[in-house]
Amino acid sequence: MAREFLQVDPRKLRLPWSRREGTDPTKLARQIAQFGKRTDGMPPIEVARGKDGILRISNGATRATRVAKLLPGQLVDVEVSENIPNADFSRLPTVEEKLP
Amino acid sequence: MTADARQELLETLRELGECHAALRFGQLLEFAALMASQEDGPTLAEDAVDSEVLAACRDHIKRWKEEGSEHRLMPGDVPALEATRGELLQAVDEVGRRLPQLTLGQLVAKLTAVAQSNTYDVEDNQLVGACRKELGGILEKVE
Repeated sequence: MAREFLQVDPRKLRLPWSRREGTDPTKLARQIAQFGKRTDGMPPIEVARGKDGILRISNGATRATRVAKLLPGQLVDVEVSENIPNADFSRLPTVEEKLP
Repeated sequence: MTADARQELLETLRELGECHAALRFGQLLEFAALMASQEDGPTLAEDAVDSEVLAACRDHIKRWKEEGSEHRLMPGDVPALEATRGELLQAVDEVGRRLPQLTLGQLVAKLTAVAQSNTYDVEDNQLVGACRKELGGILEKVE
């Protein structure tokens, strides 16, 4: 599979079940202190694409939350690691729903 | 699960980790379990069937490599695949040999609980610590 990169609104990304309560506040605070609103050089967020094109984060929940919180509307780069068309991610919360 | 089968699965996860170098081991296992079960939920890792995870990983790695899509770290990317990964795989294998009744997902979920974390957040070095703790407990019971 060729590597596929997209630009998306991080608020719309789905959190993994194990992070369904939102990102770790300690990690978020650390990232905000370190990077603030900076997005240059930020690695792409890795996602899996499920049914209806819904994207679930595999790595990068804290980055997605930081950008969603500090730069609402700003798009971020994501890399689609795998397509899982039968997976229904619609029940997982979005980053926006769990913004601190 | 036999020791050989677990070792084979761990070796395949190591290879999957080379394709997705930014993922921590717990995230890697979640990703593999997700590909195998095709759904996310409260028992994603625990319910993952080893043989299905192995098959899903192999299929993914094959397609990934066919396209020459090996992961290149991006600026600012934190490589999860450090020396710790090798140590972790060895430690998980060792604990697993003493708990052959558990699937790899169940074993990692147990270790994650020992580390007081979750499969998404747990750092590789926390899992290594959990393995040592678990191994210590098992050996104490045996003695």
